[in-house]
Amino acid sequence: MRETAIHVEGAKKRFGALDVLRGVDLKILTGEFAAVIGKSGSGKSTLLGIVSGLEKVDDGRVFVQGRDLSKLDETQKAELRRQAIGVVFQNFNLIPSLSALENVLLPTFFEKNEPAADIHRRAVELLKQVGLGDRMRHRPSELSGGEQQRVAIARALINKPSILLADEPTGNLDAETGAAVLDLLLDMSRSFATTLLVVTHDVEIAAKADTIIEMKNGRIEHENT
Amino acid sequence: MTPFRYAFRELAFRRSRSLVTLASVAVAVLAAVLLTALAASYARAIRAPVETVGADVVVQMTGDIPPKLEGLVFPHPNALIPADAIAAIRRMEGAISVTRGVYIWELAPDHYQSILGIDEGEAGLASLSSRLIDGRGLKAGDHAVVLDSDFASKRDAKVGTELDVGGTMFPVAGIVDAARGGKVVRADVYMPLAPAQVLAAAAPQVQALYPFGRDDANLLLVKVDRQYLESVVGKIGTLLGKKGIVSSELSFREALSGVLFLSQRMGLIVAAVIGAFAAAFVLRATASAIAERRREMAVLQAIGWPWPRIRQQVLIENAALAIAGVMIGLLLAMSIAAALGNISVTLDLPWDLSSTPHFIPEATLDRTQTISVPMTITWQAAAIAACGSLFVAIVAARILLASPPLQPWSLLRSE
Repeated sequence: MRETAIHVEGAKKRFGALDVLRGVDLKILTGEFAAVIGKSGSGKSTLLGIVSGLEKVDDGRVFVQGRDLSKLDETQKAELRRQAIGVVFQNFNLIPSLSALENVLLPTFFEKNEPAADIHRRAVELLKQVGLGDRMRHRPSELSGGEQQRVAIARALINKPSILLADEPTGNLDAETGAAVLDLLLDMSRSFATTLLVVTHDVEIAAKADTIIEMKNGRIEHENT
Repeated sequence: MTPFRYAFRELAFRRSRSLVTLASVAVAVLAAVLLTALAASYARAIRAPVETVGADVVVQMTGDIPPKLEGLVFPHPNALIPADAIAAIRRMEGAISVTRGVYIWELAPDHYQSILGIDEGEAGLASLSSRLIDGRGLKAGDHAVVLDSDFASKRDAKVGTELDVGGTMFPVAGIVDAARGGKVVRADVYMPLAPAQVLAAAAPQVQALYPFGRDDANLLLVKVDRQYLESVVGKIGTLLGKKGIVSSELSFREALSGVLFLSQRMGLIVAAVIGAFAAAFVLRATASAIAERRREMAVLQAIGWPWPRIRQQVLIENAALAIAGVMIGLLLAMSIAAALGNISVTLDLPWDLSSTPHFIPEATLDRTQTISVPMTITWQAAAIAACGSLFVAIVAARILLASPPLQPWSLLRSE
């Protein structure tokens, strides 16, 4: 029986006067690909935020790999993100002053157990796997949108996380590039045996998921496996 | 990749901002270091006139004008100094040594010469040896003289010739370099103390005013422990009363008070103001950099960087800029100091320190002394400027990054 990778229990989140999450319950199993769909403002990005530990819930609990995020301090949450969670964003969010390779290496800054040469080799390999073996010295401004997102995927996977969160990963890409990036994301997460939680408004993407979670007005309306 | 490599990449990427911050630090360091070097040079310059005689304090006493201005006379500021006063000065706390002298003018219808008879010792006959350009120095007991080079060339006197002083012939043993002598207690003719005392004791115009004996003096050069300088000057002044003339660097400090105020106080004020502006620039540049990189910092949090490490990264960047700014500022300061070379300060000597009678035409010219001191940067000023700059750079980053942003996800989330 598969273990629970992500467990959200009665999560509530308010921004000012706006209730963004109104009691969300969710369980995602290890290795599962779940897609969260819904209109803008339904709370799906915020859900990803609380799972990543970058947003705190006002009520309820969030467990990632069995660990209650409310009981972790900021340093412990950072460590959890570094070791167990990879994040891919709609806006790519690469560091503009660093090359593709340096961006991929950023999450490994604090790695003490693995030699630097091995980490470097792993990063180069990852970039080759995402098809950017000949672009690793380029800065983000010298890469296309699709290429930047590939770098972001490699960065998210460098520490072999058990969970991969993707917030509208194809939102800023054209249809063709978006499809290619999504296929890459799915391939990579399968080869790393990663639990994948994707937020998207694209039903075609959602159709490829093991579980589709539909959100509306801060609540889960439907959950189809 | 190392934090330093990341910092370098970041600073190179935001070139304009980095250059502004670096330039602010460099200008502040340059101003602070140069102004303190200037102030230090002036302070050295005001010590120089008295230092050239090898003493810290010159002691004289005001006397009367002789009945006739002819033959051997004591200058107006060189009356007999009582022996008990000399003994009391020797015993003062801080007084290291007291060198006695007899200062005489010889006034003849066709010529004038100033004569200084002086004790042995560092401030006395030994100080002449260091300025010799011909011949030999003098020892106590010698019956010979050493001449000032300007005087020797005017009188066409050389080593081996003889000079008439007060009717007594003295062989010329040596010539001293006038240029290195300064203008304080400078004479045309130098001799050991004893023969000068004999001449003074036999001079009618001296005896008309003072019961000057063969063991007396009318000039003292006192070496003082610098921490007691003010105290010794005060005590001698009190001891000798209104007729005492006590000259030291303090006298020049008073004369140059305007210049010193400008160089020291104003220099510090200007350096502090420039430093404050530079600190404000650094703070503003850091704040702008942080505002511009809020999203980047949120990304670092998202990929697992703890907030203290993110702050440390910005600290490293700021410190690197501060260090580079300090080095550039110091290099510029050293280059400017080297280009300027020496600072020249022209001092008006008080009448009582002038070696020439006021009624001699050259007296007015002779009363100024131009001191040239090298402008050197002290390591203390450089260290303070460097530490101050680094402190501001680090504190700016620490203050502005004291707490992590409350909602990093809001900067990263999809639209």
